[in-house]
Amino acid sequence: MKISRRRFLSMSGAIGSGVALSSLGLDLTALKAHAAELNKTDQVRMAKQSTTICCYCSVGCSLICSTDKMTGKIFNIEGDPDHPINEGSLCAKGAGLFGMTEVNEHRLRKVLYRAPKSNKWEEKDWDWSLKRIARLIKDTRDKDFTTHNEKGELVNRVESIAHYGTSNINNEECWTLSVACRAMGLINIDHQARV
Amino acid sequence: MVITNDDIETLAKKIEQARTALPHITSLINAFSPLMMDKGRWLMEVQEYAKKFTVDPVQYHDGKPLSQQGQLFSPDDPWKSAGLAVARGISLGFPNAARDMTALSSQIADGRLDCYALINLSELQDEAPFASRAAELDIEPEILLLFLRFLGRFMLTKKARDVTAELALLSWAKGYCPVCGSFPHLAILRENGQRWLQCGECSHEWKFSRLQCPHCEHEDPANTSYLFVDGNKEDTAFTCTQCQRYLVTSSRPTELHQTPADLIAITLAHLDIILQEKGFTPMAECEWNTLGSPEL
Repeated sequence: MKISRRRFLSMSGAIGSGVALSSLGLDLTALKAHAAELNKTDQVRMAKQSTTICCYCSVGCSLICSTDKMTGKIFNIEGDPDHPINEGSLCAKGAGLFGMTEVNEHRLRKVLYRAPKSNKWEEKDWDWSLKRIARLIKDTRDKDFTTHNEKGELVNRVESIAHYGTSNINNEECWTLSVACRAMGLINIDHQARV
Repeated sequence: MVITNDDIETLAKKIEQARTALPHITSLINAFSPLMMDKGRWLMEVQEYAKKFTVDPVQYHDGKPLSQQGQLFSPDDPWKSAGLAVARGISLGFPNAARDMTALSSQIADGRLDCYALINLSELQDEAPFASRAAELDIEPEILLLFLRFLGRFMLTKKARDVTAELALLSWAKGYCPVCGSFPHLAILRENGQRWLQCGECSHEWKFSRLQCPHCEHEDPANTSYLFVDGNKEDTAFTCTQCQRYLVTSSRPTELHQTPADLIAITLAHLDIILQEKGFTPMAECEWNTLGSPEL
């Protein structure tokens, strides 16, 4: 065996580069075949990691999103261990963020409507659904809107409609919804995160 | 942390588990497991010996590893036992080198060969004296180089273990090892996704940013990626196109008995092959990731 000058110089300072295994008589056939098989069957993938801030509350936890470079789709979301606020940890909602991506096959993708007294769900489009919601809110509000309470004080409210927010809307959506509800006079407004 | 017989037994079990579960790395396991076992036994044997290195916190804070703050090695260090342990491990793992190691062991054992003097060969900047010393010892230069690499690695590991508690109190934000200045050969993702870089020379580990390249400190996501094999997102490799380097990574957030980094790195050797074929170079070249030609 001959040691090359380049190899010799690279080991200066007690810590240098490794001695090539092939020159030490090791049989790497199985290892190379395993790597070749992975390559051949397109199982080797590249991913990009990017950071973002959790959308749910004002704490501002940082997340690392991993995106498959071939499909362009996120396949993992985790807490950012280097962020001073959350140091890699996430609350139950933040940890469940990945379930909100399109990877979750159980996630509802269309509007489902169940008519009064019916036991069946029907698929509806957004135009129909939004008009229906608006109609019911308008009718209920017009019927039950109260301008003054029993003491004669100005209240301008409607008590027969309640709004219950989902845990899967973000800070800004929560604010917009609460403003919209209050503009209509709703006083029964709640959110999943409070319970 | 004290090494006990239980730790050595656990290491043996982990090696056997890897050998059974991953037949494609059998040759690597056969080659390096005797050295891993002998290193563990030797560290247990010399743990009473402590000639601690004095750390200068100011220089350390400025990014100066201990190897640049002074001489890590001393003639008083347990070189003889280290040399015998390395020679034994190499002769068991590399049958081609057994004859040379037997000859070397007998010279070390009867005091004709001083391993401390031998390790200083690695400081030489010229090939001729090294080749001439190998000829004097009647050893192939490549085998002598392998011996010296592991001799230095054993002793550096001992030195790093002696200062681990002290270094834990100081902060280190560099991508190279705070003890010996080498780049990492492996990263392990532990609790909460923290990335702990593993030094292939002194086995020291230190925490480092998840998204930054330890080699060139580049952190633009456009130039850094990671490679994984579909169906196994636990074992990956961080890549940086800025410096064309890679770092194999294993996610082990809840491991009760930690697997030695060298063993983990060997189990990821298929990633080394794939990445080297793609034109990347490991951040630290070790024997188990220098898989191609000797000129790699």
